[in-house]
Amino acid sequence: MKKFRKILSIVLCVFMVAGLAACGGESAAPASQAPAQTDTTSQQAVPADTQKAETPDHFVLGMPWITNSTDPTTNSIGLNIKAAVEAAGGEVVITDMEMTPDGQINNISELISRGVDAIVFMPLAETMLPTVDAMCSEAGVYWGSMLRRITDDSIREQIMKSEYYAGGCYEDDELCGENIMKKMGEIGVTNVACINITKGDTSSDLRDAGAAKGAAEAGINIVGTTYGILDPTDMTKTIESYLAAYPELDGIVVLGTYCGGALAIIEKALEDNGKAGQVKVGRIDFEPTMEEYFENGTFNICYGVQMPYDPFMSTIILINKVIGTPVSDGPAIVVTPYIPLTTAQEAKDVTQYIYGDTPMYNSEEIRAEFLGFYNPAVNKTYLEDMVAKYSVEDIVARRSK
Amino acid sequence: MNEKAARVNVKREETKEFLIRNFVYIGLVLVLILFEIMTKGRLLQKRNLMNIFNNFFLIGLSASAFTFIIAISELDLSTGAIVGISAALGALAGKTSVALVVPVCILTGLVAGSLNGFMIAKMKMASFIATLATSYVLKGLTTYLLDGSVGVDISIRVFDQNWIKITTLIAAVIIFYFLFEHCVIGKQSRAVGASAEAARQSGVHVEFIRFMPYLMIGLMCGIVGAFSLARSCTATTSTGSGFEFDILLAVLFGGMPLTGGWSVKYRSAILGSVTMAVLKSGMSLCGITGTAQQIVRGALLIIIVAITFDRKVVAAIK
Repeated sequence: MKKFRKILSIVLCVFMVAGLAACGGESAAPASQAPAQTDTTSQQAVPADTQKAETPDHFVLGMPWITNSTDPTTNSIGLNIKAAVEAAGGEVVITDMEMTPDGQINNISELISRGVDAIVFMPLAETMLPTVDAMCSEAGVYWGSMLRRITDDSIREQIMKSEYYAGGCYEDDELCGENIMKKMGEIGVTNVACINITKGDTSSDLRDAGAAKGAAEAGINIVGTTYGILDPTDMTKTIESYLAAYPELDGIVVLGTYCGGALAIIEKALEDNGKAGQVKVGRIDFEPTMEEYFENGTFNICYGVQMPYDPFMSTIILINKVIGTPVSDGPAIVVTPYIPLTTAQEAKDVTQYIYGDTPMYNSEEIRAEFLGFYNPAVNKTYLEDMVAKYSVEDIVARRSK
Repeated sequence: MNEKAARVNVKREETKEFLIRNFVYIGLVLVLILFEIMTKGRLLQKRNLMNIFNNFFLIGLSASAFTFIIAISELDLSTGAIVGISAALGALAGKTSVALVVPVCILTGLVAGSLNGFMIAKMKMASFIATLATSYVLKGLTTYLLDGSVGVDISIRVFDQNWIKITTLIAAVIIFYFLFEHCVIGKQSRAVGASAEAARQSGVHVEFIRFMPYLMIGLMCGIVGAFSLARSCTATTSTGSGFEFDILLAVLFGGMPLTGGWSVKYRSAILGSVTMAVLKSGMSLCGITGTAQQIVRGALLIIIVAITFDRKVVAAIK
């Protein structure tokens, strides 16, 4: 038995050493040699002027994304990205997204090793972007960011010089935080408790800053902000604590959260404490239960209809770069505005047509309206116009045909 | 006839014992073969081996020191928080000079580890409570210090080179293996884990033996914090989050008994870390969703613990 164990130990050791040696070998390869496979794919994808292919060459787009969620926003983002890539003749490879910056770097590393031609992702911290750029540039993989703005000037300057960064979209989180507070002020809120994602998350910090600005302008007192709630029980406790500690509380604003079904939990806590309808509720980012609460009059304002649109547009920018029809000379950054939602009917339409089981745009629409390969008019300005035209009504009109 | 039946029974018992004793080795080989087939040979491709290594590296480093914690029959729930605070202070020090990052990370890890060791060895606090409390304190401190996230100059990536990581890992594995299997501290740790009172009466300095593993894990968490910074060039409030459970899972996957004592083997830490890394990479390559991955990991953990759990030891301790 001992002999068997020894043999197995030796076999495993040989495997490990071989593995480590292989890793070491790979690292030693000069950057110029590393991108051979993906670079070739990308270059092949560029249609020649003289002999334009009917479809772009096949490409693989990698994406670290949340795969253990039933959240409609998460699923809708994945669905619309897949639709965009497949319309361009590509394939999407998804890896389960790690929730720490170094974990996300591992995600990027894994996708690169899987031979993807491009990577789109939501960076958890902008300070990790130079590393991502270095890794992608070394491997010759184009990359794009979504849902996050680069606020640090030096990082932005460095990234914008990158040959492999296609660009991406971000929502104006600060303006959104400001607007939702002003709206709360308009409906008579004076003391508000806030829930936010986490300190350090770019969107979270910007929404905080915007909310503080909006609250100051609207004369609202922010009694406190709670961060990092992931668990429904913690959400309930937080709301109940605010209600107990601040009897004068007349507003709750969810600036952001990764807690699933947050709105339903808040509404239940308010109802249990006899405060439903008395305490006004606002939320950045959409939840399908909003329709019911709008109807009941216990929910008041949402900003976040554009959530799946931002990643979709970020992917479009990246795809255009990969298939050889970049929308601009350098990285293209497009700002997607937050669209407010105030009625039950709007919430119903959004649930059905934007967060439903069907992508917002079908393949023909994507090819005709978003891909430079099929529509030479597509460039950054054109896409900005498309973003400006984006509305719930437009999507409803397209999909309800 | 009876003699033949008895011989068959003995053979069957021997086979059963053989399978149980070698379950972790066999499991790892099976996982390797299974995923190699399922991924159509992509699992052991040169490129993917780097990912397996990166998944294994940080956990393997910490699991090596964690073996001592398990051996003394204790726990450490603050490893993630120590990684976080080390990275945070390292990143802040890096604003002055990148050369300060590694020493500051290591020093922070050592201080945090010493704090845990002091509370557990000297103040006789239950390790579960002491390390949980440390974890909360350190996480709060990290949030306060970072106030978001802090980036480090990209030149820190020089430490993210594979040869540095491989050398560090090999050195750590050799040192910890030697300490655990061939040095007094390893033997005394297991003796304390088996029965602290018996060890004390045999002349073992129990307080020192209880203190040292926390110092070691603190040191390794500091190193992990530095490598984490080198990889992402970023320290955020989420750095290190969940790391304590990754280490715990790794050692359990390796068949390490949480009951501590003489049945703790160093190889369990390494085997478990490798198994976890292979599983993670294999499932990801197969396109298995996060939900399914959680189910698979949980189910495997139950199977492994059920098979490798040394019930005799538990009975003896109780």
